Amino acid sequence: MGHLWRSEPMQLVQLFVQIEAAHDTVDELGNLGLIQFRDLNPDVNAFQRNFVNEVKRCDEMERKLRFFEAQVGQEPGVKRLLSSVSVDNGAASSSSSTQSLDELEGRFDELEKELAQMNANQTMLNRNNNELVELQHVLTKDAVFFQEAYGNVGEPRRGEDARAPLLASGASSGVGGDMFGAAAGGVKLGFVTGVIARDKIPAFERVLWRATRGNLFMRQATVEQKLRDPVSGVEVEKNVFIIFFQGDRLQQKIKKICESFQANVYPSPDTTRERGELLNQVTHRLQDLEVVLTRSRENRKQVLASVAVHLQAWRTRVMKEKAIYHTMNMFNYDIGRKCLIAEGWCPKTATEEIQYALRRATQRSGALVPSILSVIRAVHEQPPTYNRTSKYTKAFQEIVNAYGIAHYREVNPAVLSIVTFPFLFGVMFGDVGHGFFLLIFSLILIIKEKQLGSQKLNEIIAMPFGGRYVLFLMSLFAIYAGFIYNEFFSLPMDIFGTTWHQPNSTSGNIPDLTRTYPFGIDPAWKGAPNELDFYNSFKMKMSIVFGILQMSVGIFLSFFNAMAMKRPHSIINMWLNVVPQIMFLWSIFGYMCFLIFYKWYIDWPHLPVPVSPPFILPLIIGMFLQPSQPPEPVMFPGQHTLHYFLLAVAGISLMLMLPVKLAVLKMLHNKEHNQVGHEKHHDDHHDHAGGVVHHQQDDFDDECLDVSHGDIEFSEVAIHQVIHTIEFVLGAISNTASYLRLWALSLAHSELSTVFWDRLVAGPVAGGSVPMIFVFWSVWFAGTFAVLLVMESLSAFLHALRLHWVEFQNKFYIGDGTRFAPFEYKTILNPEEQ
Amino acid sequence: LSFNTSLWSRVCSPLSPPHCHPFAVIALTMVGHGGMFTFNKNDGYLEALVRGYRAGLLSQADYANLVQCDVLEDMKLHLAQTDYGDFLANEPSPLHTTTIAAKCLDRLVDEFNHVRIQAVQPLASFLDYISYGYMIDNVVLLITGTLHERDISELIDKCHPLGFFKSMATLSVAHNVAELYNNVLIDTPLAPYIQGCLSEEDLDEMNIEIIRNTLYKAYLEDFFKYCEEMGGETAMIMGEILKFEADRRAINITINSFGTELSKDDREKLYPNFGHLYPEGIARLAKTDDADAVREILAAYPTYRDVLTDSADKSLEDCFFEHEVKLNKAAFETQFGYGIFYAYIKLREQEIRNIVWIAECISQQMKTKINQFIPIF
Repeated sequence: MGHLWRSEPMQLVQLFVQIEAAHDTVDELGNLGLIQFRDLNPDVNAFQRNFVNEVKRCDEMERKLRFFEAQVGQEPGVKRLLSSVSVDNGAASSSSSTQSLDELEGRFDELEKELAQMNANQTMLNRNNNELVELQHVLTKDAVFFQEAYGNVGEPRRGEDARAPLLASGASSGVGGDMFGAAAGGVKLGFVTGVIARDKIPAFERVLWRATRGNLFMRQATVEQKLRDPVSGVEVEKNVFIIFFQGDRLQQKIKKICESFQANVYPSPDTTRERGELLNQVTHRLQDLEVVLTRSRENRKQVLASVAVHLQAWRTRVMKEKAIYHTMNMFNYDIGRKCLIAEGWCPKTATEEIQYALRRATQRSGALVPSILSVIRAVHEQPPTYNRTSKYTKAFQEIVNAYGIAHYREVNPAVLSIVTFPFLFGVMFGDVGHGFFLLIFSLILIIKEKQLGSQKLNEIIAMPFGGRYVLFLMSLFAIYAGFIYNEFFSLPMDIFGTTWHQPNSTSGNIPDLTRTYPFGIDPAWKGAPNELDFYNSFKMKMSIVFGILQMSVGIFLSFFNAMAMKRPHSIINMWLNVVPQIMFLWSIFGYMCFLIFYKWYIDWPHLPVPVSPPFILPLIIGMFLQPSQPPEPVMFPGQHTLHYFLLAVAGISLMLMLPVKLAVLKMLHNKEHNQVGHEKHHDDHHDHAGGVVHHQQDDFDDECLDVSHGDIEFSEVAIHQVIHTIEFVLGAISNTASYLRLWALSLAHSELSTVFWDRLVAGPVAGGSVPMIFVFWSVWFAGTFAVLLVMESLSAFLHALRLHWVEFQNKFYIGDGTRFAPFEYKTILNPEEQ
Repeated sequence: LSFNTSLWSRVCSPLSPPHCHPFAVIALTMVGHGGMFTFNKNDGYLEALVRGYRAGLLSQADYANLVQCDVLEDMKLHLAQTDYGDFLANEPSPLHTTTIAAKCLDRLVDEFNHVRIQAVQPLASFLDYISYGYMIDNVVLLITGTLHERDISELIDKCHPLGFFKSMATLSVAHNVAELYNNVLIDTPLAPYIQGCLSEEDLDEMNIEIIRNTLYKAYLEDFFKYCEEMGGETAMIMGEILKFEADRRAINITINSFGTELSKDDREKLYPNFGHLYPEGIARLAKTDDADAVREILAAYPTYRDVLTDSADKSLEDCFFEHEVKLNKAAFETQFGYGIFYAYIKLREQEIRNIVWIAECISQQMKTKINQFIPIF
């Protein structure tokens, strides 16, 4: 608890590391992850730093690794290997860490060259293969084209020269027939045949038609086999085309167009026989090529498999190296003494461990001079805030951090949030049944913790998984509040036996006055005509009481902040901030809470002189607006005097907060102003009235939160104080009202679930149709799940969050700190965790 | 007050029909296409996007760092800290200037396409108009390349990706302007522009230049008209920019034509029919024979007098670039107009020119000239 209450005391340390030992030292510290290095060369450009060449080398190696990965990714078989290896990378990384960076770089170079060579070969082979396949298709399709043409003419003449003027004439009917019929006039027809990407066909046709003014005949057929583009690796759908035309000029033109459309034109022999021979040849060559291709593919696969095994380890290694050199770039390089000077923040408790790591590094590197760690005085800088968390407290700390990182050494609201946050959620989400579902869900997450934690989750699962312990507590409190409200999916549970019974049907319920319902609300209230009046009154008052309680706690926490300050600021903040605030809050709203309890306590109908109970809100308002009039009825003797007293207290506390505090601050300011000449090293501190805190390293007292005024304009301080006071006074009212959201959400939740139950379950059951009951029951369950369990829980979470961030934390929380971000391999290698 | 005057200037602009009631016109400018009323609904997201891109343009400090680099890898390291990010991360060392230029251009093209894909009318056609200029350049590049018998795929690699169109490669088939039009350009948005110079003449160097300038003239006039019709801020900002562009073309044509076979009549036909110089300045430009006379003509125009005053140590081109940057920067001072889309592309282009210049100076060890780039912000 101690380490959660306030952040760890930090110290600024300076390390003197021999240049030979630097790399190993940073490596060891990276494993340790307890020191946050400061950038000592903020003005130096990235490319002018000392170890920029090493960083560049790492970049280059990373590029090669990416190249390998992309290559591996192209081979599905090997890719599986990669993912299976990545699970147990721990062992692999330790084995490779013995390899030096130079060796690794050499190996990468070789591998890259080898792969590039292989890829080039393979691309060439693929291209040849594609060409042959395309030629094969061209030849087979062309045969069909010619066949059709002859078929149309009616005289299949194998072995006939395709260019020869054809004999068939007038009898022709088909398109091909026309074509050849025209050719019969004695003009020689030429043809160009080839393969083109299917999506280019329309444009191709159009351009051809325009260029030849329609003097061509084109046939095309689809190639069913998809061809892989050898360079980009994308599968392309292609068509075979054949174009018949007249004359040489057109041939040139058409060839040029083909070229511009990246169509592959293939020579096709004129006669059928020759085409058949070529086809055979092509088929043979294709078979040969296939063998070569398979072999080279196998070869490549083997190389890639050997890469894939190491890939994860290599990447880890290179990332670590890069991180090391990045860190070393932040150090000062003392050329004369051949050593690096590093500065960084670390927790005070970690000194031993760091010393030990330094010794280990010196041993590992074999440096002659050991590294030196010395604690130095902090410069004008707030130390980073470091809250050690466990897996249990982490989510709660993150809820607070999402608002703002705590100021160094200020009271951490996460401690109380561990209980209050789920509790307020429960107040709004109180239902035993709904809470039970939430509990099961959170328990599943907790039980499967190890399994889920080791894998990458999608965003929707990752969110509840990160907050599984929050969810767990939230569900427990929801169940608890559900028992208090006595609601189970909106139905009351008669566990202890109701104290109301109905003697006969004519009169209403009669309470059994000998006993009270022991825990929670009597189930008889559910469904009673005045159910809402009762619940509303109860929940409203409860909200106010919880609100005042939590805000008072908030003010008390600022008391702890003030306590930890240095004198005289601790005194000023204590007596002129904390005490008046609590006086103000309690004199008005504390009194209201007292009245709430008092009114509950009094047995109004059985008073000796029965009076109707007073309304509390008008009573409080009356106390302010007409203080001279006594309350009606007087609840206890001396109530009117008490009102005068409370008003006086509120007035005095206002006085203390504003004019008195300002005067004291002014005095202090003047006094310090005179001292500034002597103590120039005093930091510029900023009073945030709530108790601001600045760690000063003069006497290095960590337990001390310090406030002191430097050269800050007094008028600024004064304005700040005025704003703060007004904010507090108005806030006391509006924040209290804001807690009524507890009632509102709880009411909405229970009303919604009641409506769901009445309409979707109770109604159909009363109707008596069994299938309808099934249908409506599933609708009810879906609605309960989607609306109540998911949406309502989100909204209750959100409102609990708001109550903590705004109403609770604005009483004491400064939250202007910076998070302690140590140099740590764990976070560098898995940037998502954190 | 400023609101009033700006509105009033719009109302009184020559575009608004004189018989309209001023308030009707105000209503129109607010509700119509690109008007204030619907601007954010239609184009607000993209405008915000482009303003975000603009914030990513290199700052003075970035340039100051870049010029200190000793090798191109240093530039890569520094650019990695800017909005360019790791755009060079997958490039093997040693780097080449051409790689940097290509990658920078890729980024620009990605950004443009991202905006273009999400744009709705009329912004979509406005963006298309921007790309027509690049198409003209590509057409001319391809024709010239084919004339010199270069390989078509090599030429296509050199084309500006913003000006790609489908049947681009077929340009190599054309032997004269008519063929060019009938076979290829008829399918492209450039078709209306080329109709002014249809001829059966074979293509040669001179012809190509004339085609380029005719196309460009027609394109600029059309773009200008389009912007004027759109009205509002678009007309105001784009009017300035396009007028300057037209003048720049006119001046360049004049200066480049000295000592060539181009007759004065032909030259006059190439001048765009709008701009600050139009019509008097253009008429005088058409009659000049030497560069000094051009300078004299320009001196009469305050805009160009300022541009040219400190041109002693800079080329005319650089002065124009500088002025262009100034105009484009001004586009970002306004809202509810499409000017910023155009301006952003131009500024980014200028930035790429700057980066390439610096990279060239570094790789060729010409550190003395490294500062001759045109800073933007």
